[in-house]
Amino acid sequence: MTVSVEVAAIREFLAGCPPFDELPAEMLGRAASKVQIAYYRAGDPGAVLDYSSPRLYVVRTGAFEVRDSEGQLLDRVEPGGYFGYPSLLTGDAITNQLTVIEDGLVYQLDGDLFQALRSAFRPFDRFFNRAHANRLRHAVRFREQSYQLTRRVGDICSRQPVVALAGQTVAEVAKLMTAERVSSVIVIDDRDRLYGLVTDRDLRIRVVAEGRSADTPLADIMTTDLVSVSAESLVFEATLLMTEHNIHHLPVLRDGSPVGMVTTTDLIKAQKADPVLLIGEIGHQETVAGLQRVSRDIPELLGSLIRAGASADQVGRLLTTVTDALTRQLIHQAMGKLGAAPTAFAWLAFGSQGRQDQAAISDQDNGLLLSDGATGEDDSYFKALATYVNDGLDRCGYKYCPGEVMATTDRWRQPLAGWKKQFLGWINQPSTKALMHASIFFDMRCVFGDRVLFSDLQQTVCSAARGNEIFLANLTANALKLTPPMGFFKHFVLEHSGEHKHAFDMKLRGIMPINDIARIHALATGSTEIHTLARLREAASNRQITLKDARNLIDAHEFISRLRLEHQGAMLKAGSKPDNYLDPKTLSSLSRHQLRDAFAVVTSAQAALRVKFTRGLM
Amino acid sequence: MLAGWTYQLKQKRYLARCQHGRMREYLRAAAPSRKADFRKSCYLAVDLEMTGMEVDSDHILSIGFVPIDNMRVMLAGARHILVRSSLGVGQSAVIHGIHDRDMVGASSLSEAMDCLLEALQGRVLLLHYAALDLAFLQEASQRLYGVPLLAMVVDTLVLENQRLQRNSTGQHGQGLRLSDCRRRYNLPDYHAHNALVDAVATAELFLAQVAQWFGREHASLARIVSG
Repeated sequence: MTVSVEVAAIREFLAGCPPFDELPAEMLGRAASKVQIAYYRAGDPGAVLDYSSPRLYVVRTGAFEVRDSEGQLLDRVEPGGYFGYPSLLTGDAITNQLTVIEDGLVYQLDGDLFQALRSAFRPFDRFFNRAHANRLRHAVRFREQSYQLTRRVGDICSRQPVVALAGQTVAEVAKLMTAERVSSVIVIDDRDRLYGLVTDRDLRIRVVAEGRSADTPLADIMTTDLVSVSAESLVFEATLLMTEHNIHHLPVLRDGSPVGMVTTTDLIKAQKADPVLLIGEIGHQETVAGLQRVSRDIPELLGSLIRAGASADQVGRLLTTVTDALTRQLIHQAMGKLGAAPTAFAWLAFGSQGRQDQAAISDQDNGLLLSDGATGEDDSYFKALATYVNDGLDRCGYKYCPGEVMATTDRWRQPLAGWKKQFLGWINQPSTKALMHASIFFDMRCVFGDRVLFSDLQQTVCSAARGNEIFLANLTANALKLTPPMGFFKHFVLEHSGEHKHAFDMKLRGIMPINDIARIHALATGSTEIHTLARLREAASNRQITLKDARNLIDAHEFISRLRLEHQGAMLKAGSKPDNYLDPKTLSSLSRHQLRDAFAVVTSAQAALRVKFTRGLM
Repeated sequence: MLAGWTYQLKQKRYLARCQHGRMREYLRAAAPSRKADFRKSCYLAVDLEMTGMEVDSDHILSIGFVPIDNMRVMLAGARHILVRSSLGVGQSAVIHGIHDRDMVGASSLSEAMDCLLEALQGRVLLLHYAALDLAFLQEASQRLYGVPLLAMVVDTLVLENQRLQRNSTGQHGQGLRLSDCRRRYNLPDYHAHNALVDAVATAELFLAQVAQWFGREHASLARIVSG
């Protein structure tokens, strides 16, 4: 007879994984004592799922991808995540496939035990049903995205092509183009086959500039050496062709006859939500006005990302990528005007741009790090560069920083030694007051320039901060001043007067406290990580906080950020200026409930932070 | 290496010598096949806690074990047996956290060994640094049953050492302790130390080692047993 016994390490791990964390102790013990453990090697095909006996798989270490039978990615599973539950819930045969991305240990619970836990404990059942629903929703989203990729050229050029004959005159065709409001016409031969192409540009360069008469036949000025595309081609193939040949018009053919025309504008319209195209556009702008025009599409990008159900984290990263691209292009433009930089430098982004979690409204937070050899004369070059970039960003919708944390401010445009002195001052002689506005500087990232210079500064900051109790205590004291807007009786504490009466600031009271917690844990270990969620994951793997707390904070961050995005998306759609103020009354009761939970997570994490970092010092 | 025929020879010899029912049953069971793929065999990962390192003067304090079937560690078959000792727990309590007060309700060594034999029957014995634990098990077996413990042994330390030798690209001085080996396979750190946790840790290490070495490639049990 064998009596099962628990292995504490395995029980503890399960206890950190929702919904196991909510199981009564006796049930958790029973589950832990029945675990089976297997190890899977990356790239080992078809090794994992046991198709004959469905079971619940809990990832202990490693990374796995779940794909459907057609190879579409459904889910990416990391430590603490699950797979195998859909067939346990539905009773259907397993059809999904599993790929091992990173070697790892997987705990397994057999189907009978899973069903027993489900029927004995409602929250357990609910958790997996919700996970299943989420995955289905994701699946739909992945399919929509792939639709974008599989669209064909014929689908996006709806109208009949505007055509002319080679014998027609320039004057006739110019009138035709104006009437049809097109920038090009296809020239056909007498059998309706593609013969040539005339564009606005041809009229300008080959007619007006060369002083030809309006009676010139199209045959004399048209382009005959043509690149064309079949209506069956994929949209992205058309994009590639146009990029490769540096052309803006592409005749679309079916059986050799023109059926339409695709232009760069069509492609952009077809993929409005595509940040890659937006960034490509940014890279082509030679003037601030051009960048200003392109950045008008950012709200549209944001709107479509929200509609597509992207996570707040993804949206934050994408919007920041766009800001980074704008910043870099402005620097290129400035250097084009001012000449090459006289010495090495790095353009620094702080705050939300640094953390890569920008939203619909962002102020500028930036600085310039110069090499130690920079002279006063060099500085006037960099001041001019900073002015160009800061003004440019302002015109593109990134307002000047109210606290003047910008490269144009002398204090934030310094040689390496100056920056080091600044940071070491904050770290080694900290005071709560001095650090009050300094936290954004500890979320710094190099957007452009000399990475060696940047990493020199970063290393200095990280090693000075690591384990520095007084500094961390002061930072914590500041962080604890911002609390979630929850009253003693679990009601929301709202603004009593002013413009935002009955509302609260989601960024200030919800997102910033989590950013603060993540930053303090990162600085405590001298980590170079700046992204909030990555910092929290790292803190969990260093055992500074429990895996459960990290996951709860990550979920809370995502939830509040997502609420903020939806709020801002709605404001943009209504044509008003987006802000961070939310009136809880506008939420569904479920969302209100979840928001309370999210705030409770923040409050308890703040309490833990106080114990860990301020004991006896504050 | 103990070839198949010597194993069978010993099986017969020991059976002739041994009158103890539990051990006779153990010896009569079919041995795991050395020629078959190692994945076909069943294993029992075992770890002992002792009062010290000397077989002559120290005693077994606890035995932890967990079976591996179909290359899956089966926690449902795990056991952790505390063993009564005439010596106290002494200084070693500092290391494994077993105190004299925990020993109330502990088994006698003979009960513990009977239990181990039952679980080990037909399985390959899996140990990390087999030499030490095996010496204690042999001593106990000799004393209780009058014969040594006959078992095919896979030693995860030996496997790891072979791997390091084979890929020796100047990586000298790499630790061979259980926790060092586990870290190389990115296996989690288990903080609490007792015989059962270490047996589970050894079992996981074994799965990781063979997965990375062999993948799905065929390999006989003979390739990995150390004696």
